[in-house]
Amino acid sequence: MPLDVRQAWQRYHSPVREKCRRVLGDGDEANDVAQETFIRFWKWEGARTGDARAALSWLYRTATHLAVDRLRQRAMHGRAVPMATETSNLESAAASRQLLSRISAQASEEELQAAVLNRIDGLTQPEVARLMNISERTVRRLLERFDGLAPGPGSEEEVRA
Amino acid sequence: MTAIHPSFFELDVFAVAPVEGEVSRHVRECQQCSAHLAAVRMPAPFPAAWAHLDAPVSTTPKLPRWLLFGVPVAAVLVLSVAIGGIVKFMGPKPVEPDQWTSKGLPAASLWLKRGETVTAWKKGELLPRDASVRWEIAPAGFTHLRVIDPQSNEVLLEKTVPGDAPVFTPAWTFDGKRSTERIRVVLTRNGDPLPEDWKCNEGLSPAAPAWCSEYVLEVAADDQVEPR
Repeated sequence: MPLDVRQAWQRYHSPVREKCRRVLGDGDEANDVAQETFIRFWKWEGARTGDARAALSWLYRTATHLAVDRLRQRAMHGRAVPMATETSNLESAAASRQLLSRISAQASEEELQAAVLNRIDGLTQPEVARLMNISERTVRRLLERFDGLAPGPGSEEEVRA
Repeated sequence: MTAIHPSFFELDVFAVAPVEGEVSRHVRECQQCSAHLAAVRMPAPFPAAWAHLDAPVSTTPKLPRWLLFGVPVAAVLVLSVAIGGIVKFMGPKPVEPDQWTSKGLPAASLWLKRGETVTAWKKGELLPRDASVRWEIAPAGFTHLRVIDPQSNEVLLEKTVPGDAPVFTPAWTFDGKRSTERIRVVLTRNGDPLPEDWKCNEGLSPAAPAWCSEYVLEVAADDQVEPR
């Protein structure tokens, strides 16, 4: 039974909104990115099928791409990251978000995407590889380069491999 | 999946389509992951302005009646053009500019957000002071986007864009210092600066270095703003 737009919204908007808040903090910008992701999603041919894993893979990929874009814009304009008010179930998420915002001007878009998915969303490296349609080796390389931009205690053990 | 917590992705898949397994066992024992599930299972209000998105995607649009009668005539015309084309094809090929593609023209739409309500801006519509605006742009092959305030020449946004997919600008609000705001949306193929004599809204031709659309937005005074 194909989904209509309301059903799709009820299923997928909240997970996407929470994901955007994890990356961007608890502000209007996270809501904007979540809405933009959803509008794009609804134009995607697979949006109506109801396959949750396929839909969330697409949504995570697009939301990550858009959120990273915002992080880089913030870095260009020197804006601070709003603090999230929700409690994260990964203690490192808030710290990783701060780290991301600090180095988003130097890191490449792919490095930031891999870092968001691995460090903030908690995906393992094989999961990141599947989601980004790249090899695990490339994921490792991207995360190593990301760590190289922000050396410091804790960066190694945060890797979820 | 980690030994400590499932990833947010796995939790979200479980929230949308729960099945018994490793994630469900973990969630029963873990307060933090249960709290995340509760948060993502709480839907936000559906924006009423988006109801139009539900229009079924028709792959076989109905032809207007006049077109049905015109089909035989059109077939003759097409045949004539095709024969003409073949004759022309036999001759020397015209040289086309390097960057020119035969894709459609770019398009930009302006969206207004006031509270939770999102509506499409119509030309001449007064802009409520408390509204935020953002553009949706279909670049149609152009790969560099600039949003400019032509009054101050400030570049509000500059980014590379995928030429084949629509993009959104960030949302902006106006500070109310001006009653008329002018915003120019400019697409180019490589981000090079435009010639000084180039004018917005010149229209697009194969030789045009850019596509541009200028918006004149009248911002409502405080006493013109209708309550939400």
